Formats: sequence, structure tokens, C-alpha cells
Amino acid sequence: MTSPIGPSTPASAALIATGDSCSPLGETGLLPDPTAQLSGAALNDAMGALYLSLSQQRQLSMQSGEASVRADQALHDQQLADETAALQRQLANEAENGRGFFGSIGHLFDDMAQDVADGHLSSLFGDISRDADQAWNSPAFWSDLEKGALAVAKVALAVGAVAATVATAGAGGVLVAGAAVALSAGGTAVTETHCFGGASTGVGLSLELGGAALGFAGGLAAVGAGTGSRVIAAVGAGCTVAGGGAEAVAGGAHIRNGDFAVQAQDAAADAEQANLGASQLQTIAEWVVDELKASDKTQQRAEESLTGAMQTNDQAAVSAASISLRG
Amino acid sequence: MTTSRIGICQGQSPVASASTATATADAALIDPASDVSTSLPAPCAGLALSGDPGAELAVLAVRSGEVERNDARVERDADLAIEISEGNLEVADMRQKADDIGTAALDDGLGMMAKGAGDIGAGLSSRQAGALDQGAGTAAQGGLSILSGGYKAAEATDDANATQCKTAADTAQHAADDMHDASKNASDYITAALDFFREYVSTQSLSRNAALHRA
Repeated sequence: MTSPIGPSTPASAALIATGDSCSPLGETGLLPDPTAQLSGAALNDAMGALYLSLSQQRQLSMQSGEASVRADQALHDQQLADETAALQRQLANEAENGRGFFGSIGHLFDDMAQDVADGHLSSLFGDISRDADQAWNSPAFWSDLEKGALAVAKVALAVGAVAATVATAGAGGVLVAGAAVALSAGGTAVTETHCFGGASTGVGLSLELGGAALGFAGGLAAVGAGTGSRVIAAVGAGCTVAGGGAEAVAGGAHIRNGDFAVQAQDAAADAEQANLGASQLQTIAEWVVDELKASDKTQQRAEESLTGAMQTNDQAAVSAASISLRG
Repeated sequence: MTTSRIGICQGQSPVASASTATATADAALIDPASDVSTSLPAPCAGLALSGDPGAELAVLAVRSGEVERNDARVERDADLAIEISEGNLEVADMRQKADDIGTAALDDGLGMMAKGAGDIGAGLSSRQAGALDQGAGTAAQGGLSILSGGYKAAEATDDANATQCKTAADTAQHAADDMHDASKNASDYITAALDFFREYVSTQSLSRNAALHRA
């Protein structure tokens, strides 16, 4: 280790050089030559040099520690800022954040109407583009869109299935279709409500399969349906197409919602990382402060010890002088 | 950034400078052959075998405290390294969960789109062909749901792993705090031994002075 007490310290060199038996600094170190006979004055000079060195070391240690703690503090503040930013990012990607589906549409029409009413047609496209961008980046918009599209898809597909069955099976088909739809709906309800506990999934699936089988059987029995039922069949087909389209839209919205969820989770990970970093830096800063205190205390005691030794040396010299005078 | 700043993984003590300063200040009573570097000689190196019981006791107490303090610091730094490592693993698990969420959502969404396409095909084609389209769409959705289920299960595993790492990091943090306390206690012990030696030497000097005066 390189000592903080450098031999080039002018004050130390001056003090040591004045000692009777001290070697020049840089040849044998800070202390006097141990083989030489030391007078009381030389001892005091040596201890004075030692005291000065200890004092300088104490000061340097404190300055170094303070610099270290300040650096840790700056990093700690940076980590806290990162954590705050990550938490805000997480919040911005939560499903409830932003303008919802109807809110976005309403805002778009509101802006368009305002631009048209004010005659600001030049800003019309800019507003449309901005509103579209906001909707694209709004988790609530996509969440609403997915939920709405799924609801539309379920209703449209159910109506399409009923219409198709009625159209092909006539009046009797209504009963068959009704039973099929009731079974399917019951299966869905059982699956979603879990009213049969652990067996709900199995029961629900069985009911849905039963409904599908019944609908298929009804369809087979509907051969030879009348001309009037073709209209109902067309309506049913239209509903089925609409339901499929809604389901596809819901799928796209689901992917977009997954993207938001990924960003929210990534932001949560960033926040946790910053939080851990800040906590660790704080711990280390506390340790450094603790050890600085201990170090300073120890060095202070060393200085006190040296002072005591110098006093004892002086007292011994005084005693020796008084004895020689009396003698 | 945090890890490199702390430097634990490189084997450096985060509080190396303060520790070194303390060690240097205590060096007067520490064996010169020890690993404590100092610019000063060890004037009391011979104290351990001086025959003076007070000095020998003080040297032994300081050496014992020094060893205890160094051990505590080494263990504390090791615990901090474990804490950092477990924290990094926890964050990695959270990021893995994000990937799994994205993949599961993609699979689910594609499944819904496939089913929707099948339904559209069913609405636009004849009854037999429509049933085929619908069946294909449903089958595609089923397959993708199975894949998605795998990723959803992985999400739960990621959560469990992250929790486990967080617990391990907390445990390591408490252990590091305990070791830091042990290090402080050892420092106090060394200080007490040094105080004892100072009082001892001072009393000896006073006694000699008094004897000198009497003579």
C-alpha cells in the first residue's frame, strides 16, 4: 500500500531533520535511527514528527472518506431517479392508463368537429394523426377494444349459429338450435364461474361438446329446408362473418395488450434493479461512515497517546534535571 | 453500473480505504509480519515477547481483535456480493417473466385470429367447407392455447424464482449487517485493548517518576 504520509511532506521533513539523531527523510523512514543514542529532545522531535504524520493521515483519511461518501450519494440519487422513472413507465403501461376506446373515438370526433367548426382544416390531419397516435399508445384503448370485440364476437357467433340451424331445420330446428345454444352457453358459464369446483373445466367442456354435437345433428336433419329459410341462413352467415372478424380484432388487440404488459413488467424489473442498487449503495455509505468514525477515533487516541508519551518524556527530563541540580 | 461501482465482484472491499486507515492507526501494536501495510515501523513488535505481562496481554488482545475484525469484514463483503448476485438474478427472473408474458399473449392473440379467420371462412363458404374452416380455426386456436399455457406456467415459475432470489438477497443483507456489527465490535475491542495499554504504560511511567523523585 502506498502510504498517505508521503516523505515529501515539507513539515515532516523539517521536523525530522532537526532531530539530533534522526536520519534525513527518505533514507530510513520517518523515525530516528534505532541504533543511535537518543536524547530526550530527539525523542520529542521524533514523537512530534510522528504526531504530525498521524494528524495528517487522520485528515487525509477523513477527506478520502468524505469523497467516497459523496460519490456514493451521487450514485444513490441517480438510482432513485432511475427508479422513479421506471415506476412512471410501469404506471403508463398499466391497462387502466390512458383514454379508453369510446373516449379516444369521442376525442377524435371532438377534435375533428372543432377543426371544421373553426375552419382550421389545415390542422385537421395533424389532430387526427395525434389522436390516432395517442390511441395506439393508450393501454386502456386496446383493453377496451379487446373486451368489446370479444363480447361482439360471442353474441354474433351465437346468433349466426342459431340462424344457421333454424334456416336448415325449420320450426323443429328452433328447438334443436335452442337446446344446442343452451348447452353451449351452459358450458361456457360453468367454465367461467367454476361452479363445479375442480371439475368445472371438464363439465363445461362436455356441455360445449354436447351443444356442438346437437347443433351438428340438427344441421343434418335440416336437409330440404324451404326457400324462406335462405334469408335466415344469409343473416346467420353474416353474423358468423362479423363474429369471426370481431374475434380476429380481439386477437390483434390481445397481442397489443400483451406488448403493454411486457413493457410494464420490464419497467417493474428496472425499478427493482434501481431500488436494489440504491439500497446497496446506502448500505455501503453507512459502512464507510461507520469505519471512518472508528478510524478517526483510533487515530485520535493514537495522537493522545503520543501527547501523553511526550509529556512523560518531559517529566522524566525535568526529574533528571532536578536530581542533578540537587546532587 | 451498481455492481462495478461497488466493486465487490472484483474482490475489493467497498470500505477498503477506511479499513486501511484504521489498520494503519492500530499498527503500533500489530505484528510487522502481518498483512497490514504501513509506512511506520512496528516499534512494539517485540512487546509480545517482552516479558511484560501488561504489554503481552495488550498485544494478544489487539491481534485477536484484528483477526476477528478482518474475518468479519471478509464475510461481510462476501455476504454483500451474494446479496448483489441474488438481486441480479431476481431482476433477470422478472425480465424472463416479461418475455413469457409477451410470448403467451402472442400465442393467444394468434389463436384468436385463427379462430376468427375460420369463422369468417365458415360464414362465406358452403356448409361443409365452412365446417372445415371452422374446425381448422378452432384446432389452430387450441394448439396455440397449449403453447400459451406453457408460457403462462413459465410465468408462475419466474415469479417463484424471483421471490426465492429476493428472499436469499434479504437473508444475505441481514447476514452482512450482522457481520458489520461484528466488525464494529471487534474495533471496539481493539480500542479497549489500546486504551488499556495506554493506561498501563502511563501508570508505569508515573510510578517510575515517583521512584525517581523518592531517590
